Amino acid sequence: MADEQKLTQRSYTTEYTPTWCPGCGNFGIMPATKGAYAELGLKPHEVAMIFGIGCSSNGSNFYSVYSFHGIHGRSLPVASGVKLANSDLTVIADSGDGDAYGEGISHFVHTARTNIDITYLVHDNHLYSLTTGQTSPTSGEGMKTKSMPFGNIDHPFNPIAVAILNGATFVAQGFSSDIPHLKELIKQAIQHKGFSFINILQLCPTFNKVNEFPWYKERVIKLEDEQHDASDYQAAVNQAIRTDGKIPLGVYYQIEKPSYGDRIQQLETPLIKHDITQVDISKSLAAYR
Amino acid sequence: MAHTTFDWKIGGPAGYGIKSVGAMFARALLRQGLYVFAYDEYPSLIRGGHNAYEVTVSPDPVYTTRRPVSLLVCLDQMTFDEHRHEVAEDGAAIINKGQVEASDNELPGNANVYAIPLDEIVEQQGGEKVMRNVVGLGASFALLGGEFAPLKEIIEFTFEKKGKEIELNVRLAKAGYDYVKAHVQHEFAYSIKPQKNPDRMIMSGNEGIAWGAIKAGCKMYAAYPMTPASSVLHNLAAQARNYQMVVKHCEDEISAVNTAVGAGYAGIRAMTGTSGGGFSLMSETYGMAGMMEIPVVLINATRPGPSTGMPTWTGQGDLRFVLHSSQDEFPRFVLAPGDTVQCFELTQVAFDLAERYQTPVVILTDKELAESYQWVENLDTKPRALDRGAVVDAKNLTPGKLFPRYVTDVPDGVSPRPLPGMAGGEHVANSDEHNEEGFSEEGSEMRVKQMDKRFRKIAEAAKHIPPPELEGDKNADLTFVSWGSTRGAILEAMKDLRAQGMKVNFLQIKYISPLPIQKIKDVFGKAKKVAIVEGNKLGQLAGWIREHTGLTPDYKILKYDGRPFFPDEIVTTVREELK
Repeated sequence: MADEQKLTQRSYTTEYTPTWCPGCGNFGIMPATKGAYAELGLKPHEVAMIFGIGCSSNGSNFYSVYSFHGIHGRSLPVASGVKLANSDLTVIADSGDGDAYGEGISHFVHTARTNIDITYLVHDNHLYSLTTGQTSPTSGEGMKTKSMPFGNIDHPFNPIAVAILNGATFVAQGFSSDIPHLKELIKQAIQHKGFSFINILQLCPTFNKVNEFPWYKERVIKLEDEQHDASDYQAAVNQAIRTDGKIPLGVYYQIEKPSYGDRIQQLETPLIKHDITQVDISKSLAAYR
Repeated sequence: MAHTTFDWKIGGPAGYGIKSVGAMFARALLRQGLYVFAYDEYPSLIRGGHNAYEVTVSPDPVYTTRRPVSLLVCLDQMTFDEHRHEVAEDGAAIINKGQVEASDNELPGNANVYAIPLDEIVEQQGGEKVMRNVVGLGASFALLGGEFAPLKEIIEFTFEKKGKEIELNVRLAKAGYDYVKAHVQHEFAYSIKPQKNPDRMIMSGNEGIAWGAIKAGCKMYAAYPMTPASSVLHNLAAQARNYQMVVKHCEDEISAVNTAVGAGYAGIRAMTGTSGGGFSLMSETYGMAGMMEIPVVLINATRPGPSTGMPTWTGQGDLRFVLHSSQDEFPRFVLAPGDTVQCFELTQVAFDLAERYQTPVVILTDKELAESYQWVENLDTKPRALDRGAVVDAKNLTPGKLFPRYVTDVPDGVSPRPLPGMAGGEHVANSDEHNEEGFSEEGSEMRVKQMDKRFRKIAEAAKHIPPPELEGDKNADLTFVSWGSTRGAILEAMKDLRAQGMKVNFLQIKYISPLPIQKIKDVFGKAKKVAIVEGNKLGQLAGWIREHTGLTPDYKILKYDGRPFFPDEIVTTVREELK
């Protein structure tokens, strides 16, 4: 639990035993996330994590922060509400690919447009794993699952491109098997002022027998190794839609732009700190006479 | 002697300023000390349909539209054709000469047609065709024997706000006024009788809700437009800066309700609003707030369904819906105001209940209430004491420990609630069934404990809600029981039934849930006859009362044609049923 002197991963850890399968990518994403909190000096009570429903969202039980385990697909609007109410909080929305790109896709697009100052971490294992491995929006074409036994015939969703095209001001991709790299991305995302999004490629050893570690190892590259300029919109889009089969990790896109809160004068002071005991409306009612 | 209670109605094509001219008529008379009730009838179109606006005016308190129509202003033929049968036998129709064909014998009784060249007058004065409404307004005032000065004042007030041609509009109204004075000698059966102006206001139900929310310290309204709830969004958006609140037009109703729930969870007063279709989308989150015990206020401004139904009309078909919407069982807090003042007051109560009992609270209205404008007096606008509920004091928390958010050893079912940001208040707020710490747990014993704890909240609230008051005569021959916007029509019907020598009283149920069971039993027990009045097909309140008390009314007066109850319909039904 929280130690005033030194924050470590244990500062954000509950006694609840994780319920994920052995080898689950979530065992990489969680320490990266907690490590990022600790290194940024975020105290547990300053963090609100808003989860949806899915394997990753069961992580709500494993973080000793203000943890909100809501319903499928809706982590982003709840996170927006929390941030608007109390902008002093560090607000993280945490979902899986089914939650974020299936049920919650409208919120993903529209929250990016608002550029509200929250961080969205999406655990992308290309499957609905909590419901035992059905096809998800990011499943590759041809992938066979219980819900599409003859192979996925839908085009896979491109979350990175969608985020860049729709106003997200920090867009990155991480990998559950590269914890130090992912941790640095999460730190940058949290420090970014505006809507920050990380698609986190994640192994699912139980159900995903296609996108396994060797598969990724052959394909992942790092944007920092390619001298990618993340402030260049066109370059970011090009990386997001590249067709050479490589999967770039790192920061695709980052620009400075006023966040939602910066553009609303009412939010200069967090709403939670407004005094509501003395509201007098009597002077406003002349228009009704 | 001319009648001083009258009903004025203007109709024309959508897009021709029917509502705006209607609002001017109502306000002009309000400022002359008269009571007004204004009813807006329109299709779900911006152009190309038929609009009508109706204002009932009286020197005595008036609670809804009272037909027949005393004076019908027909800007187009359709208005005359559609509404001529609504005209009183001693009433009249002003028609747009040259555009509308009509004769006296097409109207009931001795009612007259006055052909006035509205379009011609507009042309002479150099106005545009759309301004014929203002000419009709001036003509109406003249026929009703009103002074021109108060009308002029309202036109100036209205067009100043709009920043548009004030002088031209005044001139047009005066031309219509003068035309009638010059050409109509006949004494009209209805007249404006000014009284001392006690500074009353005119306000819609939605405006009442908006101001109630502001006064209650609501800091966020998140919504997606849907008739007839949209004007709550418009009114709050307009006031957002003045009262330092955030009004967010979200991408859909699901986003809206989740945003409001997130804000409620984080500790501010938050609200969302929609109609039945949007409420359907919100229902999963409604249940989530029930499970996670998060304060939030939801408005369902009902319109007829099912599905898209009749978007701009009224009905009370969603009572059972809000009582059962979302999966499984959780305590329901449902409030049903019956007029603008009750909208204002119950919205404030809703926020207190939401925080006191850590629960979603539904305010159930309908189009008739939400969008009709009625006189309002004695609105309590001063700051009031708020009940913020069992929010823990951050000073009493132990940093470094998880907080047991859902303790069950609480007699009233309310567990202390820390707010995000409080050190030592960290916990899991959980939509999964959970244990006292908030962790997901599916054991049978804890499940039952948590369910029982949640339901103790409604049992506790039932002890504290104010019981409804029986209004009207003692030893009544007939007791009306109803909820919501039917209040107005019942109060008006009671006037008429009394005038016919009958003793009547009325129990309006404002708290649908928790239901004031004992009071209902008392009233049913003493009543000679009970009639439940509702705007739905199945008698949903009647069923709800029966479920809780085993009691059945003697009569059910039901209506589900998209129109509000009109007092004469209730009177006629009662006379027929109670012969």
